[in-house]
Amino acid sequence: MSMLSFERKYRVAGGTLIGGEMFDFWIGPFFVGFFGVTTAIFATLGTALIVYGAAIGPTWNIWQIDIAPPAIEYGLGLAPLREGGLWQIITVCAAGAFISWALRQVEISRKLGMGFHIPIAFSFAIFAYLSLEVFRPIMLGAWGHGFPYGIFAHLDWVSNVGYQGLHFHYNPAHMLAVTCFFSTTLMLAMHGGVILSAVNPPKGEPVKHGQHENQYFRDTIAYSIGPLGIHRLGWFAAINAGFWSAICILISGPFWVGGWPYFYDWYLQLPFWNDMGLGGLG
Amino acid sequence: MKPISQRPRSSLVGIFLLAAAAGTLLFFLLVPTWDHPWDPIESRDWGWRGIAMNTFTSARTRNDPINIVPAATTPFPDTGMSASEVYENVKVLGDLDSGQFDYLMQSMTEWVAPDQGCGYCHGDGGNFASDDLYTKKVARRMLEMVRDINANARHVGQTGVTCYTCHRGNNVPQKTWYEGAEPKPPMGGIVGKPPPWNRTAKNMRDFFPRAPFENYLLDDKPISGAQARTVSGETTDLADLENIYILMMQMSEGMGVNCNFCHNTRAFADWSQSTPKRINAWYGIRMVRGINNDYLTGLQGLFPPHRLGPLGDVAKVDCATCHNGMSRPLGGAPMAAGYEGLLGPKGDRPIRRATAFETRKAHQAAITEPGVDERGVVQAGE
Amino acid sequence: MASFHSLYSQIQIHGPYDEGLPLRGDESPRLIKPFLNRWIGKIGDPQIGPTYLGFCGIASLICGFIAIEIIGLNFWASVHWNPVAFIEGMAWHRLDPPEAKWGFTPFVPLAEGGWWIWAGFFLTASILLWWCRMYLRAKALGMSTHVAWAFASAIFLYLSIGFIRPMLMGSWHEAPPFGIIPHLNWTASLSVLYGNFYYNPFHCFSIAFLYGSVLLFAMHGGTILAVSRFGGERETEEIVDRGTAAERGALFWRWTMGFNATFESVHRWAYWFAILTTFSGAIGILLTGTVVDNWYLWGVKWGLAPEYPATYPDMTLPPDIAEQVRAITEAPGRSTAMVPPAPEATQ
Repeated sequence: MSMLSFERKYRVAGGTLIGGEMFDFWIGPFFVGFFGVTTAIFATLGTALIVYGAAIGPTWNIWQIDIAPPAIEYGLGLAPLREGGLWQIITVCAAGAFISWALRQVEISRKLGMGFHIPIAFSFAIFAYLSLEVFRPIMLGAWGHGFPYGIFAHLDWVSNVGYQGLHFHYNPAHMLAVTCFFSTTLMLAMHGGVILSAVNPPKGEPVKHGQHENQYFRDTIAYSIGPLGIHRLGWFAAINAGFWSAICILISGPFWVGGWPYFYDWYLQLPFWNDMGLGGLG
Repeated sequence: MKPISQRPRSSLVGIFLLAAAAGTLLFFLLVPTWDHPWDPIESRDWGWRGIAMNTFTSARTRNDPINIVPAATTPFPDTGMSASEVYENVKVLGDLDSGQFDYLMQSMTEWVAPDQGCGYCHGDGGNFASDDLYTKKVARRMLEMVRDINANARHVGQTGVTCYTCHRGNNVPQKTWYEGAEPKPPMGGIVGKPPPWNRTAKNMRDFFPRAPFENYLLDDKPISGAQARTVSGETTDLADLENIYILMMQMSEGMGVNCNFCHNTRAFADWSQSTPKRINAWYGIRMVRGINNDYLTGLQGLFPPHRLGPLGDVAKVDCATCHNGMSRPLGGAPMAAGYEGLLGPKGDRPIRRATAFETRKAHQAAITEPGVDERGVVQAGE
Repeated sequence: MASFHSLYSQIQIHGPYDEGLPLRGDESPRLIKPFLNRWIGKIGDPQIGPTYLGFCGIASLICGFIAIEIIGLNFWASVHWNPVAFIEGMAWHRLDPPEAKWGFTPFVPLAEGGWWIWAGFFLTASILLWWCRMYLRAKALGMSTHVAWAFASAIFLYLSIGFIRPMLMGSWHEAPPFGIIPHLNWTASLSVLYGNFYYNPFHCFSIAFLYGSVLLFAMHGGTILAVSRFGGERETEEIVDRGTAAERGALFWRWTMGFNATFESVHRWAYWFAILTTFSGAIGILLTGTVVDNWYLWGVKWGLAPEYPATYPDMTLPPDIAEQVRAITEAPGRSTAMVPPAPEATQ
């Protein structure tokens, strides 16, 4: 029931990082492991606290629930539960759950004899999360700089943080991150599309394989990176999207307090733009 | 093609790529002027916790020499005689005690022409009554302006301004603006007007087009974006909105703040989600319009050509002229305190007229901006 | 039938070229004699070319060339043909659409936005011809046309922003300018003008699918790389004849999150996430200004916007500001349903 037809032969002992055989078992389809236990504890506690936060808050409207961090004057200290303390505990739980999840992925990778590419990629997402909720608040000196847990509340936070820099599109790391996001999605569409079109050919055609995939992209865009290369490129672009997102928020505030458009004074002052022979406008 | 073993296995491309990446990284670390979290960055919270209505200040603005309040000077004792009794040709400050008058004149010299001294306005001939120099005529008008501002500008309130608020020891304030020349269309006009970036500028403030200043700080085009669209159904021009956006950025940069100082950016137009600072900014915009229209443009004929812009217009003010990167100029120091001569008569003066509505309903005009609250609302570094 | 396979090992193997699948008689010959590049081979397939242009490809390149020339020469002319200034201002140059007064007429003087229309026309022609290529080459190779339809979703977003929405609004001026910084300014201004795009639900969907796409590629790319030691990158082979790579990849996710895709279905997830990113973005754009004027107030109307405790409960507007706001909000003939409430003046 909970096992796929081929699954039994893969369910072997070993590969755990911590706990030896103690947690080396499955519950239904889930592998447990030491980090499965910690994930469950952190995730359950965090979720329960979010529900509790909603319960003591003004609304059960799912869009409006807002579990906010402490006000700035609490600095990096602890706040009472109702004034941001909940947010602090939930953040600890979230970080604990995410990191446990990544380590559990490491254990499962080891168990299946796979490389660690998935937990490595996930660790970049965790880095981005920690940058938003831990590293940047620490650099700015107050937990109050983290984003609130709430669907539209966190969008209001994003809006205001963007306008903290007046025009966030001018943030060079943000430019890079957005470029990575868009190009990863483009490549995902191309890759997903070509695989589906090869194995679901028109009626009467045989299923196609690597040579046709290569040929399709060589014919259309002169180069096909190939079946392994596309996963390398996509994986690399995806983790860069997360990485540069983290960088763009880490520099906005701690390393540049002004408006991002005004960051570019240095560009206009580069020595080789002199004597362009153009009239000034003002 | 040669077999693989006979081809040069140069790693030059790889080395070049690595060097280029390292060079780019180094460039971005070293060339721009970064702030640092260990400055430390000081942050203020203007809204409900967790929605990031924060402003930041760094050592870069706090320690800028231009923002240091100059040492206080000792006023001269009153003489009991008015300035017009002692001096000739005193047109604005005739009723002032001559001791106060001398003190103000000495201070003005320090504020505006510390290097040139009295001669900057009065000439080197020793005839202080002479109106020969344009600088003196300009100074007289500026004195009227400062008196009007201190008496009537709600934006300034009790803080008061002096010449130093803008001039900071310079003959001309550092941050001013001229109207932009209409760019000359290339190719006989077939490719249209070039975009209005100021391509010879050395910083972004000057690089941005002048239209936002011209439209909203000289003309009084309404500053409304989403509001107009939703409310009046007008097709608000996206180009207008881009100009409003740039104006707001220039205001913010000039005051060392950001959009969140006044707005909850999820609903810019909504006053009920804005901070009291927005009220003050609203009056500030109208004060600047008054200064530019009623005081500065009228001086155009007095200035020599080298003081004028490319279109022959006088230098005009915006927020940065006084604020110089701080949310309150000079940290809110009461600069005009002790200078009787800088407080003009209250009433229907140009600055007052800029907010004419207020004049009609002055009895309602009490604004309740919250004072210093328990969170210690005093802007960091001020 | 023998076919080429990519081989991956510690050593980069430079074998004979893949000269390309045989062409039908009515097809033009492929261009670019294939060659190998060692540096590209460190990441992916070292072979570049051959490529197929055909009628659509040539026509697309010509149209694209014309579009880039129109844009680039306008940029260059705007700095009076100064090459240094052209490079310096590369991020800043702009080619604006016609002003609002021109409405949606296609007949606009070149200097007042006509160039923008022509550039847009040729760029669109180039993109549509390129789409034909993506479709026809898939057909010619006996494959299905999934990639072309994903591309069509992106084209739909592009057309929605630059053509369909301006048409619905009756003004070219609603379209973005050509130019790097100018189009970013347009994006920001559009969000402010239409009352905050974060409250546009289709923008929310689009962002969710965008992030989801990146997440999926990280997961999928990571899985394939992690099982490449078992030949996992040969996905089509694993789809039709499941091997241990596909089994391990599936079990990884099953054990991790209780659910797994197959080697085929993961590509369906990927495909639809990517398609829906641009498709829902396009819907969000098309509704903006046509159906919904202010997304924030739309969010308030439908109970999306959190209400925060007032930070300045004592703040009242001075009468001159209050009067100004009231004058706007209570103008006759205005629907008040979507209007922010007039603030109270000081009593």
